[in-house]
Amino acid sequence: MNSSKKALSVMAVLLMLSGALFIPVTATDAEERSLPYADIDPEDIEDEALQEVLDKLVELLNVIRGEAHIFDFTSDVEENRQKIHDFLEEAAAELEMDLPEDEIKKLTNYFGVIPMVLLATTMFDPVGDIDIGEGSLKVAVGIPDFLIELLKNEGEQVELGGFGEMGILMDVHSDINVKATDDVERIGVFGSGLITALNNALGSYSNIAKNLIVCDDLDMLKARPVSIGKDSEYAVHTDTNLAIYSSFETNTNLHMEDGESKFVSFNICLHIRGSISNEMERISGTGPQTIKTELDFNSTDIDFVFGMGNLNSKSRDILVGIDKISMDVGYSSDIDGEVKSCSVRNSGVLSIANGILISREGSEGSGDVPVPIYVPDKPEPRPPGMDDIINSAKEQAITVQKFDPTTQYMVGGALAGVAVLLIAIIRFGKKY
Amino acid sequence: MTEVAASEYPMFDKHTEALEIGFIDNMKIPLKRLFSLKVLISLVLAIVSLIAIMYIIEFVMQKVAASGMTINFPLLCLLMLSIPAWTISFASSTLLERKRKLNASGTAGILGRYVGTVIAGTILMTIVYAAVYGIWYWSYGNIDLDLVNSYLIMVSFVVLAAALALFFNSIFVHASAFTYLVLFILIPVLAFLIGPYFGIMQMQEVSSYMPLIDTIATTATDGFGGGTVLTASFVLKSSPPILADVSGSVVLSVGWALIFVALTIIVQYRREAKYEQQ
Repeated sequence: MNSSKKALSVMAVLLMLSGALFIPVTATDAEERSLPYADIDPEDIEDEALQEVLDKLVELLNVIRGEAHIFDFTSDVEENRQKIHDFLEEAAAELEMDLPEDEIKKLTNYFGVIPMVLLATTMFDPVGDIDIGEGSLKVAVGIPDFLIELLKNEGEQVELGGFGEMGILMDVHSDINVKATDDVERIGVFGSGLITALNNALGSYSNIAKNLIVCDDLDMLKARPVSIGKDSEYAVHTDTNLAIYSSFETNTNLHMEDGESKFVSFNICLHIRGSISNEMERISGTGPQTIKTELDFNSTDIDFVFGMGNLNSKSRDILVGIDKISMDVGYSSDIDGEVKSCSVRNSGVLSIANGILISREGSEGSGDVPVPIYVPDKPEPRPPGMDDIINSAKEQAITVQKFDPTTQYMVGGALAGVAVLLIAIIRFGKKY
Repeated sequence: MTEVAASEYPMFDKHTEALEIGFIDNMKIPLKRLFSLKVLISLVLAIVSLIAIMYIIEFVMQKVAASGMTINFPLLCLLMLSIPAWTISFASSTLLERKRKLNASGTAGILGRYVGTVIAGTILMTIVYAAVYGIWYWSYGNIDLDLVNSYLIMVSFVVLAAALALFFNSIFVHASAFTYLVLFILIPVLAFLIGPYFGIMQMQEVSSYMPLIDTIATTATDGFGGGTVLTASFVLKSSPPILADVSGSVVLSVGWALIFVALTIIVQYRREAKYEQQ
């Protein structure tokens, strides 16, 4: 083969291989093409409940940020309960919420049912007081002001800029009794509808996107049928061992005074590792005797960019980029000894998506852009203690993807051994 | 095994042709070829085609962008994959050279030719590798990559590609096309079938037994994965991503390579033995 033919054949091979990457474009009808979020069915996302939780979360983040919160729980359950109680009282005061004593008590008890709400059902209310066992809870939230303002959807002008980090380390064990507020028909992961909704939405967008997240038993994740009568009482024991690390970074050229197209983008990272488990034992009423649920975050590493470009014109560009998504989460539920489990992982297809930047031109802007003020990067001074928590959360939450090479060594070594033996036999035995 | 027509593989005549058939003689052949004008031209073509590929893809992307949506994918994976593609071309051409002599060279000669091809292939690959990085840096102004590990994987891939080309050269006429087919299509398709499609093995196990070309893109671009046949086949049935360990992949590739070298020697030995009998 001469050189030019060779060049052509190499290029042909490469272009053929790269052809696969164009599938999402060619397989999609231009008229049906829309950004994923446009197609999400609100019913699937348990919209109101989720929105409420998010709002509360933002409020809470606002109160606790800028300070290290460390709760060391001892074997004294009364004292542990008091710690949470005091914290909530303090937070309520800072939020300027007028909470009566029994409301704070109620909130303290809700602390013990969060894993149950997340992993099984929202249909129970706490009865009696929470017992918190030995363990610890460390929270350091260093997210910048602008993010809170953006999340709260407040303010005409936003001060952009800076870098924020958040670290949470949880080793919490609790016991509490709960009572069903209504007949419970199913148990499943809170917000799991979101995964289905996202997958469906992405599926209508492209064939590849449909397979981004792999769950081997989506129905089980969403709901497993149970029959628990109203007012049935259960004793709940929860164990939470989690390390969560998150970071936010803003990039913009809004503060620059040249004629360039203005943009603003946010880099958001989220890393979670650990496990949450929830055990329920029936005390009275009807329903399964035991319900055990567990969620294992073997690895959750999400790193993406979201931004808008061309801000100074009416038609702005929307930009969504995935730097890395890696996910390996296992969920199992055990109802009266009948165990079912499933896993949620990112697909190999997503590895193509890693590094993909999707931008959509010409989205209609809603009138004038409120011009944010850019504050140049400067590290916000952190109160003592925060760094330790953030750094150790970072260390524990980020997964270093491991691949066990032992089999590779063994297979490679064995093959090499056989090969050398064969060569030696021919060379010295057959004299070739 | 495919029967090869006698006219395509005339046997070496020890009585009338020179007897330079030892280890060193054979090793020198690919090395000499490396410094020939032909290879120099193909190197230039390699670099030109790398640039061309970048422009073609950007052109296609612009066409796509005209419809209101832009998708940029990590082009680097593709450029990294061009390195094995060029190496295969080179390896099969050096092995094709003075084939009759190779056929008569015996174990030492075949090993010599193989070692020479690996050395020359590695040198060639290093140049293309540097070119990929250079072009990438020139166009994008960054090199955010695992340089050493991706280089090691590449070298082990040269070892494997050369062995496959050597083996297919001893049984097929179009060895280079066949090597492409096996490395880029057949192995990935097989991996997909026994992996995600029929669920016989986990993807992790598949990459423990089979040398997958995807590991190059995965390692080189720190888990970006590649636009390869295997990754693309996940569209048909989704699967967890391909992981790779650098040292493990090197050992695995070398192991498989040595098997193919041994097979070549056996095939040649049998052919010679048959010829001697006649």
